[in-house]
Amino acid sequence: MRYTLLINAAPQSGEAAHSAIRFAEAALRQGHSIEQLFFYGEGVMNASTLTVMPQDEQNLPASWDALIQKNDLSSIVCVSSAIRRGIIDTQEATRHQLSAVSCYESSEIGGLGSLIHALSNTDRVLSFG
Amino acid sequence: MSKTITLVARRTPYGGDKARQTLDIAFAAAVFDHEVRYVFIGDGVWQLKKEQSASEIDRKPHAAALETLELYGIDKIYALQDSLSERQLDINDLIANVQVVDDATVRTLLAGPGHIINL
Amino acid sequence: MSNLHVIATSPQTTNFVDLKAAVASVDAVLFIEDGVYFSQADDAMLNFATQRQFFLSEDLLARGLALRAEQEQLNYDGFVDLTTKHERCISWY
Repeated sequence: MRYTLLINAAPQSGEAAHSAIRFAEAALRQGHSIEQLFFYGEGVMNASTLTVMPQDEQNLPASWDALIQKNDLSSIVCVSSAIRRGIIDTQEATRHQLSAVSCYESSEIGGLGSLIHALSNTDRVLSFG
Repeated sequence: MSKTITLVARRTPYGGDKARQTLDIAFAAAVFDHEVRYVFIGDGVWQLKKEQSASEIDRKPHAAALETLELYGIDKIYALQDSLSERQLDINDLIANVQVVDDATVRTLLAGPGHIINL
Repeated sequence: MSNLHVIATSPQTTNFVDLKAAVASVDAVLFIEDGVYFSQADDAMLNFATQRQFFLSEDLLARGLALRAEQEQLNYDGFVDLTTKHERCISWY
């Protein structure tokens, strides 16, 4: 099956982002494909390179980055959610004349059109929030 | 998969971001030529309340944005009767073009086709 | 055609009117995160249109919850399986 996962919760707010990554790992282990990861609303915080966690707690943004790279997943961070929360890639940093970049390069900052497009090529969409 | 998307809206318009996020998905889906079915249940029916003046709290007016959906070809807007009754609302309290439906109809709408997004 | 409802909130913070309007007799319900507290609820609260109800084992264990004999648990692999058996997933959080 081809899945799209919509992640709508920050790593710091409850369990949902963790549930999403556990689901993604299980689906991939079973040979399913993840067509699209889409980080929306508070979920964009999962792409922050600036998250520092205590050593005995999981750094979910780092875990997502590893999962995305290892499985060559397509990951989009919603642009309108991202820039208002300070999740900025090089392109947005240039456009808005900002001094820092805070988005993992394994994810791309993009629009809702990418989500809609992914839905057409997906058997199941699951949201976590 | 069919190019139909069913959106479930069950949040108040200004209590969080999710009402607006759902609306943004509706606009994007319409722009990319999907058929949108927009189902308001629970506290989501408050989004449909007419005469909102959101500028008072420096927010974008939500119902006014919902009223523009028709220009995007989205004319399938449903509200659950039980949710309205629970909140002492009736059709006259709502913006135009909302279809009031019972729970059996909601289940039929959720039975497909296409994906469902419930934020 | 049937749906999988994934419920992530505790019974006391869940709007039953919404949920019960949405769950059809052919559907299944999976409780995750704080949703697993439904396992401790009385029968009236678990009175959904479907008896196909499952609880995510990792979230039960995390919260120190045990199931009654007739209740069914599954792990993340089971969660994935369940999504393949239903055409659509509806999240409630």
